[in-house]
Amino acid sequence: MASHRADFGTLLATGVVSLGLGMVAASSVQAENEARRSSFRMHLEQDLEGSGLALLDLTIGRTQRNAPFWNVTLKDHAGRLRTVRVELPLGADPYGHDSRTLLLRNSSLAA
Amino acid sequence: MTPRRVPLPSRNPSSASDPIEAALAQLHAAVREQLRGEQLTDRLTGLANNEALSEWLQEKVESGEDFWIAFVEVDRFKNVNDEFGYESANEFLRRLADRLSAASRDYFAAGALAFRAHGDEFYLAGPVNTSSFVEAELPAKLEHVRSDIAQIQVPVENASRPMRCTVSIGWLTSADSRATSDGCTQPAVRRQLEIAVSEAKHERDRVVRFTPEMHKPSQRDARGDCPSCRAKFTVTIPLGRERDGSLFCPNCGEPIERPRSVAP
Repeated sequence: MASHRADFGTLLATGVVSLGLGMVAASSVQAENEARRSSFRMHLEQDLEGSGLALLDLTIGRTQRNAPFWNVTLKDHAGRLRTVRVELPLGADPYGHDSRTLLLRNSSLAA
Repeated sequence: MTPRRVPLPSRNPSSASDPIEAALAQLHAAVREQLRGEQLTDRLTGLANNEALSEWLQEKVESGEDFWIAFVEVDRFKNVNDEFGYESANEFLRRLADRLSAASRDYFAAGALAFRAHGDEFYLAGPVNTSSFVEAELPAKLEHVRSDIAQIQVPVENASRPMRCTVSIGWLTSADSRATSDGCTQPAVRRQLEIAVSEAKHERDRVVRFTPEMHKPSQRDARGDCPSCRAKFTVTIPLGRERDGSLFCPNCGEPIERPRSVAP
């Protein structure tokens, strides 16, 4: 995963100076990243639906300590909106299984 | 009579028995990749576009790697566009893109990328390796970029003077963004850069670094103690919704009263 992240910028830079070939390669990395993100979101959506919650928005961020967090905007069965920030441990993979479990638990409780 | 079964063409080029079919599949894949690549490129300037910028920022936030990013916006672009016409204005944007591209190669040894997001909105971005780079080198280099752009002249037919423009530059590091109550998210970084560039535009032709003091939070953290489980909790509430709905303890799930103090 980390290599993909490094690759996108490098490939993009290559593409800018070499007639777009790097752009094409960067687009493949982007497609892979998008697939990973949408898979994570889809599973989370399904899990939250089980608790009667609709996932409206999911944004990743970093705290001052550089720990990852998710901002989750939810709508409950009564139509109320909530935005919950779920902070993950320092060094955690935001798209990992543990992250999804923590996100699900905190989102369900806070909504 | 039993109808004869006609085999369906294979979708997998490696298993295709027909070499023409395999070649077509490969061509189709190559065209699809090429189109995806074009989706990341700005047509006017050839720089990486807004979609590429979003992807780059998203990856940096996901990985937690330190980065810097500068928002370069042309001063009074609408006025010069009206005065000199869109063709000259487009030529100016192309030359500006060339300068940014050259700056990304020549000024930043660790590598930097230039983007054109929309209209007269450009970005430069790269990795942060040392604090001395951020405190001393980067501001000086962005000043060079600003003065380089001010040297661009586009001759315009039938005009008494060539077209020239200045730019305002707002910039920040991921650490600056993380130090705000919103934290470092992609939308937050873009908002923070807007704030810094607005600050620069007060006098125009300036470079301004975003500081957390300029920051206007979009949400607040409410802190309190749960009456049931006694746990201390923090709940993030969007601004303007501080008094809406009910809250529940993130620890035990019991309803809690809204805390009296809502700290930024």
